[in-house]
Amino acid sequence: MAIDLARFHATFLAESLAGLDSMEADLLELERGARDPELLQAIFRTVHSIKGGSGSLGFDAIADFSHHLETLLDELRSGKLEPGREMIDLLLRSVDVERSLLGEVQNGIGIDMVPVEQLKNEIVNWHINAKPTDASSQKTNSGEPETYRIEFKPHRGFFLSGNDPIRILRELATLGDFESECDSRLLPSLADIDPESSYLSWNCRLRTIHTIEAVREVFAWVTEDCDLSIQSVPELDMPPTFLQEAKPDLTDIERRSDDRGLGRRASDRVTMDLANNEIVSARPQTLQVTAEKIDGLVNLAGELVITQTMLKQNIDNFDMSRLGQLQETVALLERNTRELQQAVLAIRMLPVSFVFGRFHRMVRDIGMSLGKKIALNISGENSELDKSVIEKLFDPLTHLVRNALDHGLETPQERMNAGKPEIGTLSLHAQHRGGHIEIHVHDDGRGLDPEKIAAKARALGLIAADEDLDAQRAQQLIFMSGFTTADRVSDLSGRGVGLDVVRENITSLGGRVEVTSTPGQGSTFLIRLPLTLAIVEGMFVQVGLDTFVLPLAFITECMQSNDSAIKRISGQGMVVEVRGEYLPVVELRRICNIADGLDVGKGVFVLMEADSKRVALLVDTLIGQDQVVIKSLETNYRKVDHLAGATILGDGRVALILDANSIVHGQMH
Amino acid sequence: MAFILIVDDSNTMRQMVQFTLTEAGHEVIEARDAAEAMQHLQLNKFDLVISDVNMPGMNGIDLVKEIRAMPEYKFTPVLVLTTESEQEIKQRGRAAGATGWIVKPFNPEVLLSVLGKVLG
Repeated sequence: MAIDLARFHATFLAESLAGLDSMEADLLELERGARDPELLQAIFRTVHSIKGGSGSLGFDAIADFSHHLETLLDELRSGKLEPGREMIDLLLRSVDVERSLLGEVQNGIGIDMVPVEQLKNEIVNWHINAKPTDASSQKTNSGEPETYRIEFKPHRGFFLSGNDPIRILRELATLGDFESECDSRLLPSLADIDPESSYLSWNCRLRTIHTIEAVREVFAWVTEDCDLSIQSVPELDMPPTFLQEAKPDLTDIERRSDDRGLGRRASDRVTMDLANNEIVSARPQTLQVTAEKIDGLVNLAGELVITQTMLKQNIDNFDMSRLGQLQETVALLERNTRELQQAVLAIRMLPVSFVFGRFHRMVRDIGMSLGKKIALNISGENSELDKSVIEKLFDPLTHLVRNALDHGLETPQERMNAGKPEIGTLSLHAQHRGGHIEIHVHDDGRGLDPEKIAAKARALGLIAADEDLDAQRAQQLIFMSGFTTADRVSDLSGRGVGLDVVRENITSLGGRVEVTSTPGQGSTFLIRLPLTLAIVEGMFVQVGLDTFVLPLAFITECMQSNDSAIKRISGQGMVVEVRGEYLPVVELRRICNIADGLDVGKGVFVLMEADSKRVALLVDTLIGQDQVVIKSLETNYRKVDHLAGATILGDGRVALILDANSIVHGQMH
Repeated sequence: MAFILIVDDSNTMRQMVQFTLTEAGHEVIEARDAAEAMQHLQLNKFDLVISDVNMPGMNGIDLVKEIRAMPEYKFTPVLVLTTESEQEIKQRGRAAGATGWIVKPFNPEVLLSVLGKVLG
């Protein structure tokens, strides 16, 4: 039977990577002085599983590395070695190597094996009783058949291990020319027989090309449950041709089972290579979901079926006297649908700990390299949000954390001079608020320096030389492109990528990022994100006969259009004055080529803000606000400028969802 | 066709064993740990149990003992998953009442050939 092993790759990768994440967390626990033996057991199990999986799937490099790592961990968990700092460091680096090896499988791109080999040698040097990896024992001899005499006497309790002599005899028969003779002399009379006991024994003769070890291997499971004697006996008078047919299938399998990755057979390698090629082209994404969520979903689907049956009964034989009943059932259907929708969305929800968890290691490593003492506090990590948001959150969050480590937090000496505790604190906190999640990145470092920011702003010509900068304005400035106050560029944050990228990332997720800072006491970055990208809180507006949806997160206010506030600038369109500030006017009917639609002065302005840029969008009327489910235009049609997607209204019509970023920026360019 | 219980905390291993055996025409139930396995064992009568040894909670060796203590599983084949280097585990498994072992890593063909030894 040919089974394509590639089908197991996704599971293996997801499981192994998740295992390494928790292994890393456990190692950091150990480093902090935790002495729970279960930690080492869990770490051992992770590597053990990776070894087993990779070996079975033919990822020899991973299996080989994991084998050495496992041996080391075995000595750790049995107490032969101590998990000292050096050891933990070695193990953390091993986690990195395992990840890169798995990444190679995942992406199909080869990696540099030199560091892998180096680390492997380091691991081997640690072994106290480094055992050589088992070389495969030769199962067949030179090919000359030999004859063995086998005496096999199962003990009384032979059956109690679930073994059966007949299966062993059958297996022997597959090795070559086999004859057996049953000795039933010990069988008692029927009345005295204990049906659970074994009374028979066998004398056999086997002529085979396999070695005596291979024959003994057949009895490996039962060596302690029987008396066994296997002896090579002189050639008997048998036709040699018969032996040449000795079941090639099984010998082949036996040899393979002994290969264990050291010298995997060429035929295996071919299958694996094919499998590898396949995963490069299409790797299905997997998602781990708790069983409770699935159970809830099944339950809700069941309720929906019941409601549907009720509805059908209501409608069959319907007359007006049953109107009340029908309305009730429809209300029930509405509730079921809403619950089902929530439950389905919850499937994609993952706890923030998926992102937060990765920072333990990063904070440790970077802190050490900078000579700073830093404690990482994590709270609210069980708050859940959509998988797609979680994935996109990692980069901006990494940037903020690195910023805090690099620029925010001071060295122990600086801190003590400032009268602060020697150990700096970095806190990551997540919490739900309304339909959003808030993530706080707080450090108790030196805070933003308004003087430095003002100086930089003057140097860049953002403010006049004599202009003062208030705190709020200063905090806006640090998110602008090219703005950094760092004196020197380190290899951490100063990669020419500034906070503007963070803001861009967060905005593209429909969120906002703000900063508050007190000089000398630290800074807090606040990220506000929608829980999911699949649903948007929208404002319904009308232009002509068409309905559009504007994402509420970008709307700051709405106001009646008023001719007197509008100024026309020749060749550059119009601006509207809002409390002393002039905003560019964008007419939705022009963007969308709608012939009817009210003129400026008659409609309504929706003031929108993205990346600190504001425009006034002219629409005919406001209809109201509601949650809408986003349907991608790309999958159904193609990408259209200024549109983020579409949604279906209650009456079945399609409403287009506007892309606020593109509208605001489109105007500015 | 046989009714088989596979106990392993590794999704990959479970999935491989499950798929291979199902393809070969067997019916397979999966358990992630010993506690889950015991629930299945009490509700069903399996023809064969395959269990990993290194698992969180009760380990595979103790699970074998528990299984053997159940009257309806006195003679049922129980195989433990080990690696070649774990000689001691093989012996402990046997002492606990396991029928035999399957050496990891294995490919589907090897798994089926080992099963032939207990499902003959």
